[in-house]
Amino acid sequence: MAAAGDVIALDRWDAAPPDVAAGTRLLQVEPRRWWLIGACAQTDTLTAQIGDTGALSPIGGGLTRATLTGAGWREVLTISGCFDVEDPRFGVGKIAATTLHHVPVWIAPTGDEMCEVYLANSYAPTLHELWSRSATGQGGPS
Amino acid sequence: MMQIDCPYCGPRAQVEFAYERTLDSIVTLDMPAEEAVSRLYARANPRGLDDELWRHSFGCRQWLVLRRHRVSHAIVSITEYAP
Amino acid sequence: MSGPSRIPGGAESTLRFRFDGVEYRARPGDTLAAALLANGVGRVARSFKYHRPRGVMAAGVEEPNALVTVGVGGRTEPNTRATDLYVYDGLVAVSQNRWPSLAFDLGAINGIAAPFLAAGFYYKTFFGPASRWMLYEKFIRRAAGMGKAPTAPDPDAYEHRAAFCDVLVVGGGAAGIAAARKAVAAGERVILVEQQRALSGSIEGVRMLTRTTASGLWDHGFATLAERLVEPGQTPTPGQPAQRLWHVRATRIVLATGAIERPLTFAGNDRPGVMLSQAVRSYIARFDVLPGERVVIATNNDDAYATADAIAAAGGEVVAILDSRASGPATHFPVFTDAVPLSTSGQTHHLASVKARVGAGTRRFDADLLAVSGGFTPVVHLHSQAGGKLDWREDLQAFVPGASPQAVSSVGAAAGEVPAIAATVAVLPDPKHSFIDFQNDVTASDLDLAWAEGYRSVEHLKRYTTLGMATDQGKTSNMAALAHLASVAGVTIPQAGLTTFRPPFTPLTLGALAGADGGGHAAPARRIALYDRHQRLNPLWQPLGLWHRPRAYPIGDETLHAAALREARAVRTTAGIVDVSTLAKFAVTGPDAAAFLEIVCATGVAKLAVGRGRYTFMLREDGMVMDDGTVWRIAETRYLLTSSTGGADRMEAHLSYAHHVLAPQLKVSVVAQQEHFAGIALAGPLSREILAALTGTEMPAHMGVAQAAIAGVPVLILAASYSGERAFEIYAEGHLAGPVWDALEVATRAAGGYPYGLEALEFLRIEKGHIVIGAEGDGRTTPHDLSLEKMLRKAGGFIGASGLTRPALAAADRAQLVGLTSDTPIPEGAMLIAHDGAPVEGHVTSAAGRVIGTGAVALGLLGGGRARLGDVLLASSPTRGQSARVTVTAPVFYDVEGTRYRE
Repeated sequence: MAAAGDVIALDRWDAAPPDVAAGTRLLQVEPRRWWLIGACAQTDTLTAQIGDTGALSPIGGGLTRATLTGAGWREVLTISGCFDVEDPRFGVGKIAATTLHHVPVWIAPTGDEMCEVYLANSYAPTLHELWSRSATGQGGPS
Repeated sequence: MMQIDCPYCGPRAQVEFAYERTLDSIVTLDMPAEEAVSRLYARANPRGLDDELWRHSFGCRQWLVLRRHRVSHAIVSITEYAP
Repeated sequence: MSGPSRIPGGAESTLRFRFDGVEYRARPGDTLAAALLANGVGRVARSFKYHRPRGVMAAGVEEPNALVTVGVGGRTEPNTRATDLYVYDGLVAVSQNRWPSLAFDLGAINGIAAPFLAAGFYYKTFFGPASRWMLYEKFIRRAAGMGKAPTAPDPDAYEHRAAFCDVLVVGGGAAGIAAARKAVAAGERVILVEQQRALSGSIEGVRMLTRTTASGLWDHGFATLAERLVEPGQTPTPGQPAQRLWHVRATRIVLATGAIERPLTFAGNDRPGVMLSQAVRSYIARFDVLPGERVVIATNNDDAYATADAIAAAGGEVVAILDSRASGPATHFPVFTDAVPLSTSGQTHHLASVKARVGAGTRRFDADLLAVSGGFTPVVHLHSQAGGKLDWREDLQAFVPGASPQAVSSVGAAAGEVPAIAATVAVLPDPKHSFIDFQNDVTASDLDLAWAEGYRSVEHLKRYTTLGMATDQGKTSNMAALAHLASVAGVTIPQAGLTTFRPPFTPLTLGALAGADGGGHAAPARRIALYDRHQRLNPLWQPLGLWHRPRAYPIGDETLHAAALREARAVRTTAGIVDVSTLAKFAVTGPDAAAFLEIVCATGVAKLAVGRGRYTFMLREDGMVMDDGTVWRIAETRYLLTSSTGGADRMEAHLSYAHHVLAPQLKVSVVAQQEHFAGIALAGPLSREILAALTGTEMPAHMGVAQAAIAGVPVLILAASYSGERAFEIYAEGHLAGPVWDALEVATRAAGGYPYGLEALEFLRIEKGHIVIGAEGDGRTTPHDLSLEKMLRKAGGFIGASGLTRPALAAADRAQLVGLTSDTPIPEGAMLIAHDGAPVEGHVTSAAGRVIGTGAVALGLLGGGRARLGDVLLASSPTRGQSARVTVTAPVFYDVEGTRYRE
């Protein structure tokens, strides 16, 4: 688990996806909201580019990114969850907002054996403990 | 626990959603006081189908209209809220 | 000797277990019931009310009699069905409802006193004088208890899992396996659930959950499944939970839950040695246990004839088949038609004889076991829980699943594929000893009594007699009861009605329901960004919603009050720092940001200059104050809105509602930044100098904004005061804020100040008369009630503007914010009255001692309070035995002019 740091929320009034530089990850978390990851250096360019069609607001100071590695990450995320994380169609490039153990989370698969879970910093100890307690033998937070 | 088929996210568990109010109890900003009070305090409460405003609070955070049977929990339709 | 025994040969009995202190051996795979029977132990329990000796009646979860307490310490589980408990090495079980021992039970004299405990006994004791209930209570509690709950905490972990499938098949018998195979062949995702350890056949390509009970079927294909990873009382594998509760969402559900055999009603039908016919077959086939050697079979259907074959094949003797019908299938066993059992006599662990009516006469048979079959009740529990209708089948004398509003279907025995029976109305010569509900000791005469006393509805009958209650929920008894009721009432069984099937299907461990939420985990704890910094100072922590915040930082053996007073005085005289990170913060950005804020905020926003902020509050639609905070214009189209910690989630939803529902045309972005920014407030007369030195920047005037860096970390500085002193809120990104705190702490201490906690914050804000949402803003107060009306935007257009125009909100006698002073401490929450016994006129919302000087100050809500300055009242808290004489004042006790934080 680590501070997500460089995450900016981008809202677009018209829901059109933005054009960002290579190396920036773009996660659509709401119909009119994207998270730009690794884009802080481009903030000025982006702000100019977006103009009055939307707005940028940094959020990364409050977000923790947990990286789960191992083939068992899907099983780990069924614990105290309510979302069908085991659906094979839920793969790389997708992101799902849901709750785990009463905690609001965003789950983003990054590979067959890896996924990221974003959550507010304050909940990190709670989820870390849940995952540490769950002894499924596979996967786990790092 | 109900399952709500979010137009953005697909079928999701009810715990991700928050019930807000019935559509007929929305008070718009330009509404006269009498109508506002009537909408807030004297609305219908049918034993059957009603149109309800929900939010997918822990999903896409969008506002949805559920046409839902309040006895059987059958959900007839789910649409994105549009004023 | 005869009685239950193991059929010679077969596997070795390698497991050791203890029952009532005696060690026995069991084979792997034995249930406790099977193992006890194999060891010749036929009497395993005493009954609930009358303490009658009871044996094993069934082989499945429907068992009403053979309840034991299993395990030791916190793993003790009472009321466990011996038929639903696989023996493990070292298992310890004890029988229940007996004292001092199962063999010699003083409570059995209740059998003599049985008339006292007839139907409705509990209720009847309520009617006489209270002393009568007091007299009976101890007796009843002692006598009418089931197993005792353990007092030690449960040491085990429990887990909740989510699972999804196209088809959920409940039941791993032949019908369930067939249904699962079909679904697998069609390429569907299948979950198959079986209560026992193993299925009756093999299947691949499914998620198989054995030792798992489908406990509840809810709305929209949602099922809860309780999986036992270890047996009751057994120690789990280290790191593994004892049980899992699966939350399954299925597109459709197939119920292959089978049927439960019904007993017959006759005198002494509850003795050890009376067993359900199919249970006898189960013990022979599954466990190599012959529950009796000389067996009488009583039946009203063909199925029990198969039991005769099984007994004979296992080496037992079938003494007689008593068939209540005029004829039965061909067999080589001695059959008596038009024959029903009348009574039994017994020995300790088995029967001695069975007396029967055969045609017009009676006959006695020597037998150690009576196998009974009164027909079959399809297990419709889950179908019914899911809202399914039930249809009556006359040929089965049973309810079967009808239409379901959900995609739920039943197959096999659960759907009514069970042997037909002959409906007979038994004439009971001895109804007082003819048991209907074995678990609750409800006899036929209890039902007759309830009927005679006027109880007609089956639901009333249930509650009056306790029929169908307790851990088995009438699995073996409900149909017999309904049949009896129907015959007494002269109606058909469907006319008599049926009680509601409610989850859980079998008892659930509370730990399984709690899952990972047990103990200190009942709700997630939210940890503030600067937790480590505070923890270093060993503060007193205060829970605030899900958060924990420092309440005070005592030095040495300082009390909370002394520490908070020292901290508050530092703020008044030098400086202090406080963590305000939990405040709600929202970035409100876009060309319509000001227009949006003027919908949410009841104060003016649009005229705010760039780089300036102001206090604001938000109303609900009914005009009541919902929350308060500050709004800052950071740039031309960029604002920062703050609001209370406790209302943060509510405000997030409120802003979303205002934007998406009320004003979707506005081009505005609202982004929650509660945790993006950690916040530290630096307050006190030296705060400006401290901050200027740290940042090398001139600090802005009150309600101004500055951007700077502290310890190399970019910070946003807002000149706002909550304490009444000059103060600055310093915001840094959450994960970078540690060094900022460190620098501020060092500088503050160097200036003679301290970090301060919530307690000091309260002292300071009460003295200053600042309201708190949840105390003064209690959801019933308008801006006028809180003396905020001058800040309302005249043009209106904000949420709550029309609600405020309601005439009653202008009434002069509304509860209004006042100040209260006293020479003695003012109890918080106290009512405000003119004198003892006078009507309540208001209450104290917040109270504290003066930070500097003596005496107490408080804020309160008082009827017509704004016109009552100078009145003397009593602040009285009878619940705490505290009161104080108070004088009504304006709600501000310190620096009324505000000169200390302005220029």
